[in-house]
Amino acid sequence: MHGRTEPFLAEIEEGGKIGPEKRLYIYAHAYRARLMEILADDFIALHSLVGDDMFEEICLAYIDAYPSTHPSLRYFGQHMAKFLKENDQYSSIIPAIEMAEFEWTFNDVFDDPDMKSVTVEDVTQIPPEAWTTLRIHLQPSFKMHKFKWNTPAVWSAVNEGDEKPIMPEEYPIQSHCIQWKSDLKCFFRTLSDEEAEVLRSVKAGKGFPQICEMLMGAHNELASSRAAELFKGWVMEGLVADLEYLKS
Amino acid sequence: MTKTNIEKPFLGYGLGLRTDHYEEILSGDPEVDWFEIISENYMVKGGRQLYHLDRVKERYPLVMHGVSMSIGSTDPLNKAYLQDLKTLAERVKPEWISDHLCWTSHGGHNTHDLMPLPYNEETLKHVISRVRQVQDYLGRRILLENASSYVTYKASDMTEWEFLTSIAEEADCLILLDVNNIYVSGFNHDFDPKTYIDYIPADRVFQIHLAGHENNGDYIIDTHDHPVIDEVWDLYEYTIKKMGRVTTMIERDDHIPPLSDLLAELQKAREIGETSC
Ligand SMILES: [Fe+2]
Repeated sequence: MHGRTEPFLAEIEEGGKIGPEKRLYIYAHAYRARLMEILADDFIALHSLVGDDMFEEICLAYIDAYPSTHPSLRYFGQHMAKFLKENDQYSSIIPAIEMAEFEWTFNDVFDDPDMKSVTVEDVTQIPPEAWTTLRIHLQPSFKMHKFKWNTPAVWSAVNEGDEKPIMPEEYPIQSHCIQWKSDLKCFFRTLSDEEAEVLRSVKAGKGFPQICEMLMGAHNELASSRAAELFKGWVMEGLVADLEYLKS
Repeated sequence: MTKTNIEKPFLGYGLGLRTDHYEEILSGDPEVDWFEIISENYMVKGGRQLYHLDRVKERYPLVMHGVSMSIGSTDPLNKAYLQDLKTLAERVKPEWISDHLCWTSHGGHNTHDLMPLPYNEETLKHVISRVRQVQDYLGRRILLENASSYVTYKASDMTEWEFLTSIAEEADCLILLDVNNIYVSGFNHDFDPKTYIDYIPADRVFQIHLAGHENNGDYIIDTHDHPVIDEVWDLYEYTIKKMGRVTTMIERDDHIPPLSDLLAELQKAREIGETSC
């Protein structure tokens, strides 16, 4: 009933220990409390960033703007970043928008399909001649976002309960951050523009030789060793879910 | 009341499977005969929930309990939801699937709360036809649970127990009887819970929920965050004396205590269940 009970009042039987208004209030109150609770659970760092009062204000406005359209409560907060972006009151608070997006992405990563990560041992099994046909498949949970502020660092400080909170700070240039899950654990880290571009290509299905080619401009004859170095890093981090190559 | 020829399985005494207890359940072998899962919590593609579910499934029988079927709603049945439910059932292979006799969505929006229905012929017809559709789709009977309620509609012209019984008999579905909910609604709407229990067809009651609540003096809220109260234990004993042994569980959804507390409550249910019939 989205907190508005008046239209129902005429339908409710009177009598008993409490009146119809009170009876409907029980539902309206429970509705709001339940949604506020799930938002507070899903946006701990956003809450900490904007403070109690603004967070409550945001949540109440969000509940009105985006009534739950999914049978599972788990998806209720999915439009939070969009809501902040399109609302004049909050659209200029970039760190809040970024935080909402970052925190929500973890929710998705958490529930995404699980695949066993490729190991260094698996990589050593690739025959030398097969490297030209190699395609790297990232974890299905892999996500990448751009940030103008130090959002991942602030999130980290809040979630690890650091005594001194990290203050939001604007980066001189945009940075990238990836989030993924390996062995049921969620991870994130920031990365260079170069690595971000390469990962985007890998995600889009480009093969290992094409990645080497991409790196030629900056690394010349060292391009393939740079590609191998990046690849090894991803394997160590559990970011790679599968390897595809032509077996001779 | 018509007699069914349904063979009623008895699973024993169970608990709701809650995240807080995963480790303890999997590392020990707590004396629980079976677990009930909240279906919606496992309608995901991966992650810890499914990982733990698969492990618990290897050791214990499971039943699936949903909160969003919205069987009484005037919205069309949510096909995507039913599909997810069916997919989950294929994974879990539950002993049975239950949801609530209520509505939880309207105009495509979800209340995430169990909203009561007006109890009359029109609603009855509507719900019966939907229960049949769901059962046809899932290829099995479902259990419908009586929810707690705080309002009575002017449009109601029958009691909840008459309504629930008619649905069960005409749609040929089963019943999950929440004894606490009968107590809560009895208090909120001034009826005698025993009248309710007396009316319900015992052969269709496959499962019982026992839970705690919050008493605010002139009304009770069904919070599932407290131990079962004495009056509800008495009603449980009354139910078992009437119906014989029924698969029973303690339902705790909030302020989840250590597993040992719930096991103690479950032991009490076991003692009453095994000695009252
Ligand atoms: Fe229940």
